[in-house]
Amino acid sequence: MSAARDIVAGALCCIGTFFFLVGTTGLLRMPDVFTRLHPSTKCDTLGACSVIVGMAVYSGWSWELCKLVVIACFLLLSSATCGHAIGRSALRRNIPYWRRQGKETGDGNGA
Amino acid sequence: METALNLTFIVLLVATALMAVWARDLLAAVIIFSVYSLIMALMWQRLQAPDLALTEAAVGAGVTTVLFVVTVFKTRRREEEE
Amino acid sequence: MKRVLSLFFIAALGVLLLYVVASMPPMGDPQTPTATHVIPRYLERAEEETHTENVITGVILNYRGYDTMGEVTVIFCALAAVLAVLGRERRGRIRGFVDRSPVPSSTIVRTMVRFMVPFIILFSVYTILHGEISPGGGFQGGAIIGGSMIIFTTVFGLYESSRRIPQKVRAPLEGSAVIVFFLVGALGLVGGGNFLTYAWPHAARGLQPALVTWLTVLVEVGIGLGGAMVLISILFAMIREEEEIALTA
Repeated sequence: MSAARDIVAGALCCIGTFFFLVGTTGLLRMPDVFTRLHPSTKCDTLGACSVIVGMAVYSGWSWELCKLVVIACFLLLSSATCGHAIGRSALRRNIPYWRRQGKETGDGNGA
Repeated sequence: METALNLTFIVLLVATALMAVWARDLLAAVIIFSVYSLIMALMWQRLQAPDLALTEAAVGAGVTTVLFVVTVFKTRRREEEE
Repeated sequence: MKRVLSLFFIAALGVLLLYVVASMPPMGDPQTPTATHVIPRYLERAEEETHTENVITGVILNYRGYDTMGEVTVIFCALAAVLAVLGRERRGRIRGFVDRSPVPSSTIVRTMVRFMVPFIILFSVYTILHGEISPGGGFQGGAIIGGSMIIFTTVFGLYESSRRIPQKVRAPLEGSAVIVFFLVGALGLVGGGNFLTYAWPHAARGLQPALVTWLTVLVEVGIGLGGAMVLISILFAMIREEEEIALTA
């Protein structure tokens, strides 16, 4: 029973770490703000929540579980709001979209 | 395993410290410095000093970063070229 | 030449530091001076002497109370220095850069901040009041309150947030950390003990632990409030923009 729980918890944490890795790679590789926003918000929602669910499985029924659920709720709310705020601010400030080579409007930022 | 984790933290700590000093963009330097504070908080937690970890996370990564960002906005974002 | 010389000095310093680190005792070694002199006494007798369950709080506020009082004074001096350079914001006609930002904050962000800030303040109150039992305390809680007000200010602007915590509320509370610390220390003198010992030797035996605990909590609350107000005042002094208002108004 305990071994199975460890395996499930470890697997969930690994999934979370994988999403963090993918999100960070996307953040580094994507060309402009809007496309970068896409992977980096995935990081928080999927990655961190998988890790937290993994830890919840590991802790079992206890007060830690309660705290983890609260942390997950606040994380979901705040990261979604953050993504919204960054995207909206970038849109309102007319930061140019990325276009395929040569057609960039403005200087853009990134490769 | 423990040593590997500690070593990773220390390498990250030194790397972020150097990057914060070398960054030409001061806003980037401030953000890197807040990352430095977060890693430091994790290290305090690993050294079993939760009080210090809490202080470092709240003051170092939170309040100081915002005060630095305000200062950067009020002054100049780029370091002067040599 | 200069570059080579400085590199040489840095390398020499690095080698020296690495040598010292290599000869340091391993972490947690029971034979080191830190673990043999005063620490065992703190760890063994802190609970009965300071009546705080969290030994760190006992050490910070009781054994090394003078030290902490100095730190609190340093924080207050930092505020005094910032205000001496920048000046305090004038009442009623202040704005920060959020107030004149081309991007007004959206309804979603405003709603979320309105929803989150009370929880953050609740957590900071927990950190302050529970600092006597669990990790945390006045400094940490004060920083968290400051952080919550920073979030509020970055979203709602300086005008709104300075209406929530007006200057006439902040100004008297900024020194509360130093004042409460000093007064509680002096209470020890009145009760016949030493400065900052929190102990009243002539008080009834049963009263003693409760008295010490409550005085410690009082000091924590004072530090928390004072620290929070100092941080908020520094933030307000830094981001306000009066000159532009004076030009346009």
